[in-house]
Amino acid sequence: MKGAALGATELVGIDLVLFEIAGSCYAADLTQVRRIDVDDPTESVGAPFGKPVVGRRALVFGGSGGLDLRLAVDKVMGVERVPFEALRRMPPAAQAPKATIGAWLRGDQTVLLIDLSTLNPFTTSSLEQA
Amino acid sequence: MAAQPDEEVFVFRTGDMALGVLSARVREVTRMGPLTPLPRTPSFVLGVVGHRGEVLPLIDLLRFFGQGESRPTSRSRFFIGETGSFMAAFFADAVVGLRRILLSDKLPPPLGGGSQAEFLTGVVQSPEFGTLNLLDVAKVITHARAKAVIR
Amino acid sequence: MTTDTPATGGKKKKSTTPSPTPVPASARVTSSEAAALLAAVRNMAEGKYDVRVDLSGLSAESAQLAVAINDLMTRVQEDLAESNYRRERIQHVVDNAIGGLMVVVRQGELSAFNTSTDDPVLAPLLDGFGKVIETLRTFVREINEAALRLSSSANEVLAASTQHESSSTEQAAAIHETTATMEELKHASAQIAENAGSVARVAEETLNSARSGRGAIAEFIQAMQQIRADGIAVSESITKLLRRVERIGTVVEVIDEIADRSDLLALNAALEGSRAGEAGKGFSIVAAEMRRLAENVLDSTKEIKNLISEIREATTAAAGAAEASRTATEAGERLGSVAATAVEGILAGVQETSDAARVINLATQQQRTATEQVVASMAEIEDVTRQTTQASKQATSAAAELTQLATRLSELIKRFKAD
Repeated sequence: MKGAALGATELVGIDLVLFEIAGSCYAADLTQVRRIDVDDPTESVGAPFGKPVVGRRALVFGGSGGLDLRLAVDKVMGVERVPFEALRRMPPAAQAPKATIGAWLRGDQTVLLIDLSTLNPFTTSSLEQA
Repeated sequence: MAAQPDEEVFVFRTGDMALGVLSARVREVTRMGPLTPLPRTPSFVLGVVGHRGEVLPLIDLLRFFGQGESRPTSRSRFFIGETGSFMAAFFADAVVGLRRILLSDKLPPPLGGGSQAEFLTGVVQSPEFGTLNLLDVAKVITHARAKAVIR
Repeated sequence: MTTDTPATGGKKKKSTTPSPTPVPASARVTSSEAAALLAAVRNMAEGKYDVRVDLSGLSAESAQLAVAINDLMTRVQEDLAESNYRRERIQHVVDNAIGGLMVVVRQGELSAFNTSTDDPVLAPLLDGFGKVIETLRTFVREINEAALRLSSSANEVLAASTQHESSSTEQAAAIHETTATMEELKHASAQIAENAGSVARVAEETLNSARSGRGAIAEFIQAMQQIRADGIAVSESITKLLRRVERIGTVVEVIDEIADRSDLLALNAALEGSRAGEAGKGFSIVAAEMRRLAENVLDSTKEIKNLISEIREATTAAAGAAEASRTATEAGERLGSVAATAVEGILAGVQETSDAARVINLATQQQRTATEQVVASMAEIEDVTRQTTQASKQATSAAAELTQLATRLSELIKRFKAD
């Protein structure tokens, strides 16, 4: 969350894109997402959250070097403005992947917060090496 | 009879194991809430749970000790263990309650107990539980954190 | 006949016709002369017509007398000849007629009688004969015909009579057979009457059994209906019980939830007390007690839950049993009504059988009487037939005799040839 994306906003909250991969709910900073690709649901970052079941959509975001990277998802639920107070850092003991930078306490539910900028074509391989 | 030095432990069961944790390390016992699984994490981390505004990793001690897998239900309990400013939720199949144990009854963890022994402060033989393993929660949390940091 | 006069007579007549020759006036009849004349007359009286008085030597007067006697003699001789001639002729005709009659009589040849005459005296007689013969011929022809007819009729009668005789013999045999059959029939009908009697008895017994069966079935159906009603009541009770148990279950869930929360609260309170050290000790004791209570409650609710599930199982089983009972009783009722219908059918059938058996019994008794009458009648008929047969035999022999007679008659009549 060190990215300019969150820090740049002057508002009391942040716009998050909600999406689902393999039955789990995730959220990402809207400003990181360039577009949602419907026609080409492929991915280029090594499926860091598991293989999508349906894989109809892909989040297109800018990787390092200005390249378009793609994260295939099952479903895009929408965009929600979330107050900062509802966001938490990921506890280190959870041993979550690097991209899972925090969680959004959405009532009872805990939604994992993804920093798309940390994803690259080698995400999965680097994880597997760990 | 003069008071003998003792300590209070929070006793629970998970799988076939009876485990005890110093009550001072237990912040709260609560019911199982909605669990958010984490992708690509070690199997003993079942996921994260939200509790009183905190996001806590939920640790399955059965998996942690390689003794099998817990199966959470809506009536399952977890307790929140703490060490310093770090906290983690631990899955418990059944909570027994608080017990006082005499320090004189406390035996060192069995030698050659493998990785398990590393995270135990000792064992107590009791007619109620058989072998009660006294868990070093701080060490478990620290171990988990350390692993994460290395990664 | 008058022309057939003998020549001699004619000559004598010619010679006498120019008389009376004058007798000598001076004649006087002497005794000798009278004797000669008397002899001549005596000859005549004796039928000696060819003797003549010799004239010589006779006085005139005697000569005249002698000539008269001679003339008379000639005349008588001529008339006699004439008379003989006529007698001859008549005799001839009569002989002819007699001959014809003899042929008729001897040979029966009626056609042969054909005698005629020009004799005015005999003609009517012959004519009469002819008529008689003609009549006879007619008779013969008719008799012949009649005889032929008689013969043929007699033959027919004989044939018929023979036929009748054999028929009547056959009839007698048939009657005999019929009588035997009737005897058998009598026995058979007696047997039938007996059988019908036992059928009637059996039917009566069956009728009684079926009546009691009907009663039993009615009771059975009533019992089934009662059971079904009871079953429905049981079912309703079970449903009510289940509903109550469900409510209890809900309440227990609530209690359970509360106890669980209490347990947690107590646990956390104990932890809190523990953290408070010595100060929290009393608090911890209370919390522990609270936990114990909560656990007791949880144990109790667990027990209640077990009981509820047992009750639920039991009631489900009971409901199943009640349902099964209901189905069974319904089936029972259906079977009962089927059985009732069947028994009614049996009753009707048995009643009919009983009635029929009685009717048969009665009918066979009547039949037996009738058969006996028939047998008696048959005996009479047999008698009559025997007589008829006898009569037929007699008739046959009579007809045979008649035929013989007709034959003989025909033969007799054949002797007369009418044509």
